[in-house]
Amino acid sequence: MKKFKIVLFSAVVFMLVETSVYAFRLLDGHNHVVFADVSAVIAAVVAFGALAHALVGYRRQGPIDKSVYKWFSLAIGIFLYFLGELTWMIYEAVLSKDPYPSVADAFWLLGYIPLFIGLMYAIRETRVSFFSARTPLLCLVAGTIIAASFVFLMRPILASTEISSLEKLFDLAYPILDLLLIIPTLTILVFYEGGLLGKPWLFILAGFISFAIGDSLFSYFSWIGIYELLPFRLIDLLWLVGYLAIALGAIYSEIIAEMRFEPPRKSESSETEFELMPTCK
Amino acid sequence: MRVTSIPDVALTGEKICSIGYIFLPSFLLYFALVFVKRDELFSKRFLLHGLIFIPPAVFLVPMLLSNVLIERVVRTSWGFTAVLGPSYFGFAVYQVGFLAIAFQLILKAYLQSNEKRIKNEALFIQIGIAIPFFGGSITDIILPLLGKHPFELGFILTAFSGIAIGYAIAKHKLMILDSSLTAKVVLSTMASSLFVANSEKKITMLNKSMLDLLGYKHGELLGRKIDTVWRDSKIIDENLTSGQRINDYHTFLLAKNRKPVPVSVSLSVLLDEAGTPIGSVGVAEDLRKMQTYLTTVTSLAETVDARDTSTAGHSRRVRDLSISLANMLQLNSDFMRELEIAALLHDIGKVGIRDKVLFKPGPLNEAEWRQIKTHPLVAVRILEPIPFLREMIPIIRYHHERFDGHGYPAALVGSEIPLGARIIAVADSFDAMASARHYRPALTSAQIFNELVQGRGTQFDPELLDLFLTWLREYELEDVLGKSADFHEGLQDLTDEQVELLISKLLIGNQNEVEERIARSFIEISGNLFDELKKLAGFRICETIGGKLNEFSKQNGAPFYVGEGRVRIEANSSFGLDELIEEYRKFFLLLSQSVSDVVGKRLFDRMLMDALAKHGEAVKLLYTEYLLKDKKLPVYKGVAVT
Repeated sequence: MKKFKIVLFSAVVFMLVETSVYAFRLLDGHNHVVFADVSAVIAAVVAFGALAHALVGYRRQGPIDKSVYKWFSLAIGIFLYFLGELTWMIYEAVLSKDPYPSVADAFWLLGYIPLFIGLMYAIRETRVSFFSARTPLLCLVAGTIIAASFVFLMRPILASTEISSLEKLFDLAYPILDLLLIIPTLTILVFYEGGLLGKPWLFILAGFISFAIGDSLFSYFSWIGIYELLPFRLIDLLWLVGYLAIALGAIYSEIIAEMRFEPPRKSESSETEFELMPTCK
Repeated sequence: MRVTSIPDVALTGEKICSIGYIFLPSFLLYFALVFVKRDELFSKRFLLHGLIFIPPAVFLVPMLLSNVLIERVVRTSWGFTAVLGPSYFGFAVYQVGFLAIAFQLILKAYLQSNEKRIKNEALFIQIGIAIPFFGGSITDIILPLLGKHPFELGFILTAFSGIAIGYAIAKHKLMILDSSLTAKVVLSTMASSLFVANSEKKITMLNKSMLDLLGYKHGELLGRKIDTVWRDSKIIDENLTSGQRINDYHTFLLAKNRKPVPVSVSLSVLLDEAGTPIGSVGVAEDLRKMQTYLTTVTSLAETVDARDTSTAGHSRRVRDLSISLANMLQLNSDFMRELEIAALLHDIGKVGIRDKVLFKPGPLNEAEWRQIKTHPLVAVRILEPIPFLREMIPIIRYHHERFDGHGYPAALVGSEIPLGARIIAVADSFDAMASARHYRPALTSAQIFNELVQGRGTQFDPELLDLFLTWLREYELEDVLGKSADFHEGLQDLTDEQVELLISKLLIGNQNEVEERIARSFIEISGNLFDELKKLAGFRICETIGGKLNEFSKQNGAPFYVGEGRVRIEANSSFGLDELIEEYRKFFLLLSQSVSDVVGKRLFDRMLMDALAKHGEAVKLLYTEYLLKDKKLPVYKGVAVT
């Protein structure tokens, strides 16, 4: 657990530094853009590294079975996100071009496919029916959110004549695709309710929710044309939180898989209580 | 472009050279499809995969006729190079997407295959695809966007791809099709119904006669598992393992309309040049003519039922109940078909019993009983002339045998009685109890439950009965019986006495027998939980829980040990049965709590129910009502309290 606490602490420090830069406007103009883009690339690399490490960790435990596929798919998805961040950085920080829409979006959109496949693998391995228990309720909630977003965000964007069709398509696609990741992640959490295996998914869910809020706000801000203004670029922090949360989920999952049992020490109490103790290697 | 100094010529040259790059992702994806679905190679379905060449064809026109993909060329130190146009975005989506799909297909084939040659082939194809996937993303998309124009690495990367795939072709015999092509030509010209399955039991060839027999079109079955048309295909494994020809194996193939087609199959092994089995060739003979006779006999069975209103539909209900029970045992389709027919015909021998005896309202005298007891043998005499029914005759002959050896006509004991006959015995008794007769009304659900449980291990096979009860408890009796009777209630809620009665039956017998019975189910159930946990959380977590349980055993002197995800039980422990079960309870509670802590309660319940489902109702109730609860078992020194 010590390892996780160190990573968590580092993530909090990273976010504090990021927030300080935004809040106190320590950088301005192009310097801020470079800082924001490089931070996103670093966060994506951290998330990809954590997922790849989890994948290798599971692989080391024995013969490959389908449980490895979910980490593989999630890692591929986040790698494509990383390529998206990298391309975005090249456009915005190096070439000083408007990066939206661009090839970066192609990477992000492609990233949703393996991420969704990974989540489906995770659901399938529980062998609980996707349509059991609370899933209909989750779908209802998701449907309500989609309907609300359609009325307040998507319809005005669709009606807009100021932005290109491609931009409209992306503005609509990101929030919807984010929801498509949130629903299965929530389902996984419901299946593992109260179990140790559910905890990593809590972080991953937080990551996807963070992405969803970031993407929705980005669609809205870029539609009304205020994203470039520094205060509104605070939403960049949501993507950083998203990547870091996913990284924490992967690391937590690996720690659970690496758990060791330590026999309890003699104590005054006659009753011996056992606990699963995640330990560091 | 290094061969000219004229920009326009260089631009045209770049465009022409890019044709190869445009088609490369589609070629590699098609190549991956050929690799993973090579058995479908000549089917119409596979030709559909050609649609993946549409995107490059679409890109080709604007690339050649406009500057949307390649805008212009710039001069570098080593020659001209392309500057990407505004529509390059769409091309990048296609390029990265197709290569990613191809990579994933091959990776899946690599992970799933156990054959070393296939693994080697897949590895080199993966390398071949990964180079343009990762390298191309950097050199052709990211660097040009940065305004960097490195030396045209694309040529070198493509060459590496070619070398990797070429190596797989040369060294690992990738894409050898000679033997399958030869076999295809020979077999398709033969008049008999033929199929060829490879060592993975996938259909690699079918001739027209076989397609006509099953009602499929050419190509619909290629590459699919033989199980699609032949549920009981285990015989192919036997054929491949033994290398011996198998003649006249009576079975059923499944037609496209899902109707079974009775056939006699002869199987031969296909060998490669080294004499290694690479598949099986099957020749099937249609046996449907025999079924006309069968239809007549089935009608006869229904006529027997119809002689009396109280037994109308009995044979069909026994068939349905028997099939439901057999489904729980996951028996093969051939057995199911035999059971289905046997269940329909089980009482056909009653045509030889006089109405006066058969429908007598009061108790039967000895002579009448003797006559009744002849009906299985009468059935055998009726059915013996039909060769197609020969497998079913023992089931019908022995369906009145009792598990304890007090049945008729042969007084067989336990597993001497054919499985089908034991299944029909349970179904037959259940339907008889649930139906009204001239001399008594139908029994209530509680009475039926008690009667069935009383017969556990004496009249009925205990394990089959437990499974039947599990199945029965999921439904309302009127749904099970297909009747609109309103006096039947379900068995979902058992009384404490009913639970106790069933568990006491499980615990009856001498201590060793009972210990062995409980230990077997305990080992299996714990093992199933560990297996599931291993899949979900990895091996180490199982070791962790195992360590924790071992520590508990050590501290409490419990006779259990966990190693390699299996619970072991020490023999010759000094515990009495009630003490031993108490130890099971403590140990199982700790195991359940540990697993539940990891996977959550909801998932643990599902895992436990799955593990218990294989063991039937008595074991299920023992775990859910006793071992997981602080409740005293109805057992005293190995003898059940009834």
